Amino acid sequence: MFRNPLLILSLMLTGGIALWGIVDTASLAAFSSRIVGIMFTSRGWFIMLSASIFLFASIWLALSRYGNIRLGKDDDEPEFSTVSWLTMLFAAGMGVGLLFFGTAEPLTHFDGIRAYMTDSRAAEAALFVTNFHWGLHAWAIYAITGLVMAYFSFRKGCPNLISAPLHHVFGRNGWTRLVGGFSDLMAITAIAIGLGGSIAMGVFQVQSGVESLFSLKNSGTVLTLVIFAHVCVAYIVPLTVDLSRGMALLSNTAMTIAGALMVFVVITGPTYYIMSAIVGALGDYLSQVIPHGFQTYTYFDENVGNWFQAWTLTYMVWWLAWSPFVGVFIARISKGRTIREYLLGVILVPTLFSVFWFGVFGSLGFFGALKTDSIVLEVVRNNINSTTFFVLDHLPLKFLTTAATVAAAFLFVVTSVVSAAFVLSMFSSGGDLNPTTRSKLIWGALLGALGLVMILSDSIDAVKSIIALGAMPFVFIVLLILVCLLKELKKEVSP
Amino acid sequence: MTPDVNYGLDTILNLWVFVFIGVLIWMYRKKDHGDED
Repeated sequence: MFRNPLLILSLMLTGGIALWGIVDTASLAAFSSRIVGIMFTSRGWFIMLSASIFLFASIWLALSRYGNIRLGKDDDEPEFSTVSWLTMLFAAGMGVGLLFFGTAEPLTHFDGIRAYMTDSRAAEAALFVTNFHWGLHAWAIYAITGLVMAYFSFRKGCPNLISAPLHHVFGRNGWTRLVGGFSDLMAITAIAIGLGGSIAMGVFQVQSGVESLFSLKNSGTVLTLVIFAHVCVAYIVPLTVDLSRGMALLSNTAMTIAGALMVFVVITGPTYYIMSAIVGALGDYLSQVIPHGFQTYTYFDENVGNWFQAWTLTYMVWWLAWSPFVGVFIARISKGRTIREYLLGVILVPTLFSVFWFGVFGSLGFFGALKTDSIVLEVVRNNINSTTFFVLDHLPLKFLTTAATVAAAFLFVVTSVVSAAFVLSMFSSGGDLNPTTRSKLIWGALLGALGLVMILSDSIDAVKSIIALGAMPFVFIVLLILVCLLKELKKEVSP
Repeated sequence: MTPDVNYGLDTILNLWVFVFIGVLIWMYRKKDHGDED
């Protein structure tokens, strides 16, 4: 395995970042924040334009004659029933991020937007922009990457690598080797860094939950590290044995808990308020989503510019960073579906689910902030990690719901790390579908180290800018593989 | 996060984007590996 230059390079690059972060977390955070700031200022317009291009390309491909092309051979049938396929798509979209940001994100935006408009308008705008971040544009990015992977691997028999479309369409020569190798390396780095951030977010979330369960205050780094150690132990074991069925079960369990939690909140919370908020949010989303995809806040003040970079642009590159990882997963479960079915399913269904999710948890937060004298906004400002638990505290059975959220966050993180270690081993071993245990363990350890870096940075903002740094080149790579797909599709239907 | 803008660097970063878009268009129109004519 050590004869593989891609593996060695990717291990060195991610290992180097992890080492830098452990030795001097503050300088890594400051460096990434500086570079990301420069890139976002100069190329923010291009990131937004690209996200909209991915959405338009998805819609166009779904509705055009290319939509009839099957992701597989012409007589392949889908492996999973439509219901179970859609459920698995939910699972891919339901990460620890939704648990973390369910209430925190709409309220954070609300807190900032309030300076520019009335509270009621600010609440609507905050919920809309949250849905924008998690909606059609995010899923179009995933859908396009997954579509390219699925098309080239199931229909053209290429290995499961980001560079495969390039080699298939343009042949193996000097420049395709160079660009292809760089793309694979960047895919690996972006996934590894993104996963490190996900581990940190999961650990922060579990820690806040444990503090809330046992009424601990400011439990400090010791508890953080204890939880981190538990996460590491929990994911190392599944990496050594083939537990693909078991992992699917764990991931479905996490998703069921999250779904049940959402239903519980609708029933026990202010139901009329939540349902009205969801319907209103859906209307706002449908009417503004396309123009907002081109919104760059050019004429606004510096505060708005900073907010746009810290949230909207960061999210867009975040989805780009995750796209090879989620793309591989959704490609694998979509074999045998037509491009039309695939795109409509991948883009519409999880978006609707997100609108529902943020409608429920966001409006619960707004209910506290606007209708009661709750200190929820203080909590969001001072301890964003504990927002979800703070709002659950105001509903019945708080011990149960808090414990369930902690369990779901823990399971989401563990299953994500196990899947990511698998995908990273696959990418770094030339697309081998059965990577060695040793390679999975090495990646597992590196992911843990990157997670530790993010935890040591002790700030979600630092985590976000480190992820954005790793993700930055991906906007170019996804556009590149989209061109490969369009070229190849053109050949399929030409006479 | 917004730094003071260095306009020289900004121009280079944006030029890079335009060159990239040009390369994408060229790639899309380029004859494929294996194409006959």
